[in-house]
Formats: sequence, structure tokens, C-alpha cells
Amino acid sequence: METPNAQEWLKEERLAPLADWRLGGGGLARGLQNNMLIPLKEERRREARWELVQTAPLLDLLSETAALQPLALKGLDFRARLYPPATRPAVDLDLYLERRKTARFAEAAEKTGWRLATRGRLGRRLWRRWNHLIWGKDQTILEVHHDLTAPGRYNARYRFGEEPTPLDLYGVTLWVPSREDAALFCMVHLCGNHFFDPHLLSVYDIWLLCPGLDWGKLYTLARKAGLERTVSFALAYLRCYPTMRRLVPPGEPLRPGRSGMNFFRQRAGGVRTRSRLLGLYLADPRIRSLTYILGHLGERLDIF
Amino acid sequence: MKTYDPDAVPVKAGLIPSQNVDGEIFAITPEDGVLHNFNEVGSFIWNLIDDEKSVREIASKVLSEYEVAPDALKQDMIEFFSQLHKKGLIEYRR
Repeated sequence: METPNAQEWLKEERLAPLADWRLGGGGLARGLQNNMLIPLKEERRREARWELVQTAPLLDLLSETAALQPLALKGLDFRARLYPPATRPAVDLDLYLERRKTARFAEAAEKTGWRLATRGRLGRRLWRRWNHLIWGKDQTILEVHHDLTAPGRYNARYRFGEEPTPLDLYGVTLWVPSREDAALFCMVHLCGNHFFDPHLLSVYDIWLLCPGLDWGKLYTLARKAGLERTVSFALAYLRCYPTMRRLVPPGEPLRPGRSGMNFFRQRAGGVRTRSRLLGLYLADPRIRSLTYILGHLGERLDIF
Repeated sequence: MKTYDPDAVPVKAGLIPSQNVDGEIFAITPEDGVLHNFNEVGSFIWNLIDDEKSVREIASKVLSEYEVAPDALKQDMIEFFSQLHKKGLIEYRR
């Protein structure tokens, strides 16, 4: 791969700051030219500044809402516990809060200078259709979710199953879901939000979560929420990445759920055919793109 | 502390979120949202501010790490700590 292409690719996949850290820290940079390394370093410096600008307004809010225990999701969570400094880009920050606590959260948010960015019709639509509200302060965008998936796509029973863990974020408490809960959420996101076409950064999130993951616990959580098929497909997808193959065990047998069972009865003939279909799906970029577009158009995909 | 007091102990003023990118420190003051970026020596000094070391002790660590004349260092320390104080990044404890 030529240098400018590699840089562009890393930027597109949102891995440029991490690449800088890996190349610098791992001593892999020897032999690489400066025209490759300098832009990567600049990306990481930019990320460091952006993370601070993004996080600073949040500290007062977290401190004010400590009793409500809002849970950090994705970027905010993984920055604090998985990634080296200034290597995990995030366009916005996400928190999860039980629906019954949202009024108290809103009060604290307004008190600390946050403004609801989505009001009126758009606000009501986001609340109903996507289960979140968007708050803003300075340059920070904060999505506060009251559900873990969009309604209608998934099993509505899905909740985090384990006790959250407190972390320190610049002197204030940041609550994060357990490793297994976070991994399950990433898998749901991989299927339902990215439609198996994520930035590589999202795959890297799971890669970092894998060591020390209690897979038995994860399967139990998935079963409880009716998400076995999601996990099976996510694991099959992740096993296509050579680096993930040794970390990710084969998915447990697919649960013959209502939509999945009908789908396979009508159009396929058993586990072996299912695997072939999945292989075809994963191997063919056109099919993946089509699924991605369909997903974004709001079509419900049977396999999930 | 209006004048240079080598026995004063600098402490970071409240919560100052910072990031360390290969030894280069980026920090932000949450009250005004202003970003601060220290050069190599500035980052070295910032990392030494631990609520215990006095300005004199920090200066002696800098002297042992970098080749610099003590008088020049003293001038630079006065300027640097005055800037940190002015920007609300540190306070002093005696």
C-alpha cells in the first residue's frame, strides 16, 4: 500500500491516532518514512486536544449526576479503560440512563450549562424512534440513551445485566458497564447499527475487550436478552479478521427464534447452509453494502 | 505568590484534565475551556508538580535532566510558573 493511501485508509477507519501510538510505542516506526509518521502524529495531537475539549464540559455534569449513575458507552467508556491516551476518536459522547431518571438528569444538565439540542418535533422523534436525546455544551455533543437499541429492531428486553464499575475520569466518577455487558453492546451495535460494515475502530473496540472476557457470562447475558443469534453472527463476522480469530470462540448454536426460524425454513436447509450463507454474506462486499443500505433505510433484517 | 518563592509548593488548581502524547502535555482549564500545550521541558515540569515538591526541588530536577545554566533556568522558571499561575493552572501552598 502506498503511503498516502495508507494514511487515508487509517483516517477513514478512524485508526490514525492509534496507528501513531502503535508505531511509536512498539518501535515499529523504524524503516518508515517521516512523510508517513508526521501526519499520524499530527492526527494524535489533534485527537488529544479534541478529547480534552470534548470531556472538560462533562466533568461538572458527571459530578452533579453521580447519584443517578449514568453509564458511559462506547468512546467515552473505552477511552477511560481500554485505549492508550488520545487514540480513541469519538464524534460525540454517549451515556445510558434509565428512562425514569431522565427528568432528574435534565435538571442537572441545565444547571451545569447544558442545553437540549433537539427540541420540538425532531426531539420527540429522536426520543421515540432512536431512544435518545441530544445535549450540547460548547463543542461537545452528548447523546443520552434511555434504551440500548432502537425500538422495533431488537428484543426490547435488552438491558445491561451486571453491576456497573466506577472509574476515575480526571477526578470525577465515571460509571461503565461490565466488560461482558460492553462486549455484548458492541456486538449488538455491530449488527444493528453498522450492519456488519463498521469502521475498523469498532472491531478494535471488541478486540481490546476480548482479553479477560468471561464468554460463559456473555452467552448468559445474550440468552437472557434473547440475543443469541446476534452474538453468533457477530462472532462469525469477527472470526473473519485474522487477529480476532484466536480471541473469539465459535458462537453457540443459533437459537431458532421466530423470525430466524421462518427465514431459514423457507430459504435454507440447516446449519451448514446457514454457515454458507453467512460466509457468502461476509465475503461479498456488494451484498454487505446492500445490507448496509437496507439497514439504513429502516428495513428489518430477518437474521438479526 | 507575587514574586518568585523557591520554597512555595505549586499544586494543580482543581481538576485540570490533561493528555500526555509521547511526553508532550496538553491540558485544559474546564472553567474557560482554554487549551494549553507545553513543550518538552514544560511537560517535564508539569509532571513534577505533585503537591509535594517545592519550586526549588522542581528546578533541581530540571537541572539534573537538562543542560542549562542555573541563572537562565531561574529566569525561565519565574516566567513559566508565573504563566501557569496567571492561566489558573496552579496555586501555591507554603
